[in-house]
Amino acid sequence: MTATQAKSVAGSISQMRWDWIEHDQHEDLEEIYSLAERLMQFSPLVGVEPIEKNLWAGRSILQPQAILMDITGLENWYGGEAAMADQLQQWLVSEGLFACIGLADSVGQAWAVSNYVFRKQISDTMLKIEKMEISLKSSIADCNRISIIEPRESSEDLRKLPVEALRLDIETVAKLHRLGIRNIQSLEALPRQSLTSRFGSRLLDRIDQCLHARAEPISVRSTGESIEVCLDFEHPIFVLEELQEAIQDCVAQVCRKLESIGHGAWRLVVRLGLEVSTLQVQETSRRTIPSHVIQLGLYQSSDDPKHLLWLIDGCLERNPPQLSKNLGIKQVMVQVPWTSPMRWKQNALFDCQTLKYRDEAAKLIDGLTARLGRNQVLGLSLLQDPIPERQTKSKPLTGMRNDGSQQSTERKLRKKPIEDYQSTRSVVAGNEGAWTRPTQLLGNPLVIDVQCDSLGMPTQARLATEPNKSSSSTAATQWIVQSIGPERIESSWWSGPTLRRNYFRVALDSGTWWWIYQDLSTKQWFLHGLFH
Amino acid sequence: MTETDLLSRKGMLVKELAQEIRTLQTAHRPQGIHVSSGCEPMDRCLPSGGYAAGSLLELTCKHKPRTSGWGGLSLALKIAKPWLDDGKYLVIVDSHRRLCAPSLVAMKIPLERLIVIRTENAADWVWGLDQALRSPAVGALISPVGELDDRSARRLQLAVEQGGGLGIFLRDQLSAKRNPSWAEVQWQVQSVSTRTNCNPLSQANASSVLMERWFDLELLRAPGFQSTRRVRLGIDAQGEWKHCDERKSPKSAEHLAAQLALATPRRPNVAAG
Repeated sequence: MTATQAKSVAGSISQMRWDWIEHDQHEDLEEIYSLAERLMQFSPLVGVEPIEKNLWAGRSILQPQAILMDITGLENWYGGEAAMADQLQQWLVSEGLFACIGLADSVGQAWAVSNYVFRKQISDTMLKIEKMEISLKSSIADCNRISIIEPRESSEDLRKLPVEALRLDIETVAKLHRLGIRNIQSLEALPRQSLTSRFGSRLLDRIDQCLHARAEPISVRSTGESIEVCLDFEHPIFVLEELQEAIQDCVAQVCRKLESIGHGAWRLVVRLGLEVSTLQVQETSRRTIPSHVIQLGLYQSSDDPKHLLWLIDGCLERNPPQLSKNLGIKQVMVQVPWTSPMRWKQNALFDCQTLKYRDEAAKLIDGLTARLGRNQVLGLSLLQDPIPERQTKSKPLTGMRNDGSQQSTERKLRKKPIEDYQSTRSVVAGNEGAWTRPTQLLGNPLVIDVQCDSLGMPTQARLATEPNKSSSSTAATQWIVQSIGPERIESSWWSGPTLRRNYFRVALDSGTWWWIYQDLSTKQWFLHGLFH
Repeated sequence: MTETDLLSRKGMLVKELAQEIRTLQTAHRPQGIHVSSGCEPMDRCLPSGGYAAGSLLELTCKHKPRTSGWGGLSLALKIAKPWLDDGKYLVIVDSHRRLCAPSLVAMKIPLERLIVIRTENAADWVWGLDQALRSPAVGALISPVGELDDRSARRLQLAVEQGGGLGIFLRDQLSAKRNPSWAEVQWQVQSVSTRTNCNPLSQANASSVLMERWFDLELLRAPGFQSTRRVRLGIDAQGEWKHCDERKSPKSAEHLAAQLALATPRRPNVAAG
């Protein structure tokens, strides 16, 4: 969905507050790999969809958006494919995710149904909403997000899907559309020889992968080569101290393995397999309990068992497994899905200051992240954007991917960004004065009442409502003793709705300095920043 | 023995005892390391000519403003800057997600050595500060402080002694009076209203309006502190310290370039003959 579509949908729901947040492809990538790691509790073979050179039709960004799982032979543990898909769906909902699941014989089929069956339902629903004004929320809830293609009846269902479901690049899809070919059925009716000469052999491969279930390998995220240590217990553990001892053993073994190959862990996953006691199992039907998963991303690679244990303890303290008399831990597994050599690469000949305290800083950042959470320990960077709220970019200091990764998708993302007007690369220090921008920027600008003189310069300011108080209490008027402005700031035409603001720096009689602006479209005044 | 001698001996004894207590309190601190703030008048107010490594500093706001724009963070950044010169890191606690990178860059703070922490509750805040202050990689830490119990305050002081950095706390005067503090130095800060700016040129010259900011600082606490000391300081457009000693007489401050700029318009060329 594009931003404009999202805005129109949000606008249809009355009083809905919406905001623009810049898309971060690395954050997305990090999240999808994190989800893939967590999904390994359902299947050991989990991978992320491979991305090819060209953008696939129906995708607006060159980035993996689907997770592939090989569940061959596993469905019986869950009571069949449908039951397994239901459990998976429930788990995804409990994680706060909205996902579509496709179960089929091959990757091509599963991808097609998971991406396009639900999408077709949604587009049909949107049409109904426009015509019959039915509720959006209930309509989406009614749509089935699980599609299972049975082996024998697969072809008929798949043939109704649009040609985009074949994972074709945009150019091929555009050519097919020009020829009036909209769905797979009409494409299949054409002679195969002519397709090869017109569109290349890739199209036939895609047709075979989708309609004839041609096998396709899954690029599994964590293979048998990854470093992992697993401890199975004869009787479940119910006490946290015993669990810590078991984790300590596992981490020590993992670190020995890491040391032997001269690598350090960048990412660490601890899986605690939970088990309901025997009595409980007899009472209820057979069911699987999701593992308790601890995921850790490090600021720099480490093979120090004490450090890793300290981080795991921090996570356990923050988010302990809910153990009880009936629920114990049957298995502890420590995995290192991502390692890198334990050596330093010097960035520059005289760049010693940054590296001097890096080891100590890494320990601090890892520790803070383990306890406070990844999104609570951040680094700041400055972006080239005229809009003040988009100039500061904060990103977690841990878990970022390094250059030695093997994933082809990541190699593409590391391509140098196009240096045009849309570039969001970091910038170095500008020549702006120390007092031209505030030290603090309010996330939600406060509405203020401003009186201006004949020249349009603000002379009095009053907060519409006192901060942290009830909306009925109004703040006292403050006299503006000095002001400078206006500084016109406008957004670019390609970055969402147009913003046009006149900014003023004002000094109040109380000695405080504010950064205020007038929205030129609404003529309303806002307090946007504080020179704290 | 006269009464005066007795009093002087008592005074000496009290001083000795105070010194002993101080030695015990700061036993774990790196001894003899003081870092200048870079501002001579401020350093002159401090007994050691700078801030001691492994100590806490409090900047308090005289009047609790409705919205915090009193300049404490800018002063703290300026004081923290010399502590980062040898490659150490700066930690800023920004739980309200308000920190603005352009101003930090303008203050010459290296963003690659900046760690921003956001905490959601008091326990995490104390723990996070404790860990950051304890780390030898942290040169300075800046955090707003609200309510703080005695035990936590002492914990933070011990942590900063171990780490050897400087902890800068921003709090309002009321909170500073109500709650215990283990800060070695405490300044009360008041942003000077621009009309009472001590630099007369800044009012006259329209181009320098709101390009520099002045503060009245009152020393409330320092080692060997005996009487209140006040100093007026400013930060200019380049992010450098300014102080009233720099103020020159109005005549000497008149720049030649400005006079030339105000010269009469050029006379039109008159053809010879």
